[in-house]
Amino acid sequence: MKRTDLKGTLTLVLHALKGEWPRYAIWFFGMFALMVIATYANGQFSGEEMRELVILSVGEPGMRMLVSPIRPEGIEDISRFVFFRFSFVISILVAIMSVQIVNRLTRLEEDAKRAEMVATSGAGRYAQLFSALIVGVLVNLAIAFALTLGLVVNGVEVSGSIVAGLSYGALGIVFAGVAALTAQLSGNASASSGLSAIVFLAVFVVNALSNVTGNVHEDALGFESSFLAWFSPMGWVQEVYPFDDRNLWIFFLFAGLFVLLSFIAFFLVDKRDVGRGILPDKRGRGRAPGWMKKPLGLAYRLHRGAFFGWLVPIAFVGAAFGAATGDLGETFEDHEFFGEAFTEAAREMPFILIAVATMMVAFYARLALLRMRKEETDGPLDNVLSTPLSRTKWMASHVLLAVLGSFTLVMTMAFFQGLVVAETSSDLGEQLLGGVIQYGALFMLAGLVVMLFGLIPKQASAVSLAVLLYAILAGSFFGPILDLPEFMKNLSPYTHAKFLPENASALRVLTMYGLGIALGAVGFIAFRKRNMVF
Amino acid sequence: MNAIEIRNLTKYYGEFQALKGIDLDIKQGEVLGLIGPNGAGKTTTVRILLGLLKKSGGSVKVFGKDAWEDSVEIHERLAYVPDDVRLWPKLTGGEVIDFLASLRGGINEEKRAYYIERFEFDPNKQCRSYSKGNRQKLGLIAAFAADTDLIVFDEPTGGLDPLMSKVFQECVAELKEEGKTILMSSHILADVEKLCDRVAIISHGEIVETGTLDAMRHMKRNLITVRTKKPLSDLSDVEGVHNVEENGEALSFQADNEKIDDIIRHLSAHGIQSLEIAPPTLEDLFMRHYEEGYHKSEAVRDEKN
Repeated sequence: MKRTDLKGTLTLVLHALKGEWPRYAIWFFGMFALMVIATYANGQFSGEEMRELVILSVGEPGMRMLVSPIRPEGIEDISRFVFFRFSFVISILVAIMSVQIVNRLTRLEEDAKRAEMVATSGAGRYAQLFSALIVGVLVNLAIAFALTLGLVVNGVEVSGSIVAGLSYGALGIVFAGVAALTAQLSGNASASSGLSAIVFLAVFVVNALSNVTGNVHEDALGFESSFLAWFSPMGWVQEVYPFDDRNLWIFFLFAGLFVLLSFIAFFLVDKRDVGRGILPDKRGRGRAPGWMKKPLGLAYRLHRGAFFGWLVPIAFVGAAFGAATGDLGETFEDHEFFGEAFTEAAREMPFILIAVATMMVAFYARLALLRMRKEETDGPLDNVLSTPLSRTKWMASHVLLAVLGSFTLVMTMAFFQGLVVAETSSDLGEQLLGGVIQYGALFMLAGLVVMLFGLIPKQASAVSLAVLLYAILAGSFFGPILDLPEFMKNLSPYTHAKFLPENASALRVLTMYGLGIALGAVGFIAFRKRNMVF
Repeated sequence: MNAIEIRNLTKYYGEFQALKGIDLDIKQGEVLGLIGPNGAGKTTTVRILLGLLKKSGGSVKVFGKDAWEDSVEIHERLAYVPDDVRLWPKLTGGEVIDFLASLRGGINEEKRAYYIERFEFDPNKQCRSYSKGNRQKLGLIAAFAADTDLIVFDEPTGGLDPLMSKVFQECVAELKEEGKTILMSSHILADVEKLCDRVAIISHGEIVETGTLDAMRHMKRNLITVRTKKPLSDLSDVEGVHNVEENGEALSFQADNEKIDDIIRHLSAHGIQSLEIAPPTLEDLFMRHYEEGYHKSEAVRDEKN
């Protein structure tokens, strides 16, 4: 390494902060708000209610995937209780944020050819990546501060709050490292974030399994993860126990992993050309097969990479969720302590997981629909629409594939979970019905994204992300935990898709499908009437 | 019969008026060059013509049909090559050619093979690994292989090397022979000079001049360089003489075409030793408009700030 290799890093860091600060500000205040509201809302529970909620979740192995370990003596304390319920969602958010930050500052810069200009204007060869990592670390430290602040204003003890905030910041920093690495391996920005998503899913699943296979304390008053937690950075966060053991040495694990990932990424920078990945460009076929010459065929070609990238993991998630909840019957047979209510809750469990999976797949649907916007900004659309292909047909081919693709993903998850669960408790057909009900909420959101693309193309990406995050956080799963007011929960379509098929109102579900079609139709009409804009 | 008829076309981007009443006709079988500085409105005009942008006022007809309402029918007879051909990074060049040509109503296999060979194009590579020039070739081949009546080029030779530019010129000449109508927006004056029957100069959202190159030249000044026995001290006072410059022993100046007879008489009265008359180059023709365009658009930018 030469001394000039990092030249220009500071300039690039400042440039990134200047250009991207609104995004960072949104994350900062968003995370602060989440922490404040979650802590405040959960602080309203009485100690007895907290114990009940812990028993309800911990008693079900499936539910343990979505909570964090807690000890009997800490249950009635809000600082421990809030992380018991929110560790999972905070971890997901910081991971998504970090991957996005680093990906935008590295791969996206290259795709836009700006990296070449930067590299040839005197910046060192590592400056781009190094500056992205610095920004990633800085923003994560800010997020750690936001989380700490969110706790402290609720009266939580300061030093524990700092350690808790930092543990999520550290997880985010690790994912900045993950994104730095995938940026080197992949050929473009979307492939890179896809690869990061797969890494995250693996981290999540390992952690979920460590909770499922963990040791449940007596009377289901809390649990400890199994040794599997040490194989997942998300597990490390759980092992910090900021208000009990305060295992500060775990921060060395985070730091070590981050340094290792970054080191490999820097190593790979030397091994590849700017604008390319490590994996070489293949020599392809010189002719298009018959199916690809049709608009629908081309759309399939453009969607299939992301689709299959999701299909395999989601099938795996379904099977894993199923395996975890499959133990359910046995657990409850063993413990006579659990009454009728728990049998009911146990029956609901697989359907809750379908709802959670549908919320994840909503991100796929959004990106698949925004593929249209990408076609528009990247240039191909001008070419395509100057052929005798009508705008409506072109749009229909993409919307159809995004809808079919996301529907298939939800049903695949429900199917694989059902395969495992159906033997023990629930009927497979009912699982699939649960998928169709949950998909109603996603379908309506998809219609909304189509409408945004038609009406406000330039803002469609940001607005759809905000709407999606709102719908998820105010929906059936997080809405009640956050204790949001009824009208806020009712604004989210997920609220109207009840978990259990027998509780769901057919009218509401059909209305959501109908609204999805109506919103989508507005998008189609608006798109026919508008300018093509970059 | 006009292939393209544009009448009083206006386009606003918010407050900014990009086109201020464009009038332009292109006859069937004609090759028209649309020329102007950056930001003059070339690409906006072309994108309205293609039905990608909505006009603010006026009318745009292609083959007698409305460019916005009937775009799909119009596109059956049209092929377009944008200034920067940006396509799907993961698809190969061959796949893209097949897809676009299929949409345009089917691939002419003979032409596809012919143009791939002419442009020495490798269709097996992924689009992201093509250089700008190669992407340009890809756009050209996809357009040529579709066999349409009208071809619209936006800066077609920007990324091509001189050899490939020549191939492009030959290809366009062949298409002209076949009776195709071609609209070409370009900066490359050599292409325009060789290929275009007629030229329209657009500046700051207005067509400032149209006509054949010959006709334009006649309206312009010739560049005269002369050496005489007696000194030509009073030359500047002669009507039709502009921009006199001393050039060693010789004088050079611009002369209005309609006064050329009087001017030459004046010169020969001083005993001509050597005389050179050069017709105006395309550069001379356009530079004036370009410069005006730049000054105006800078002024507009200043106002906006």
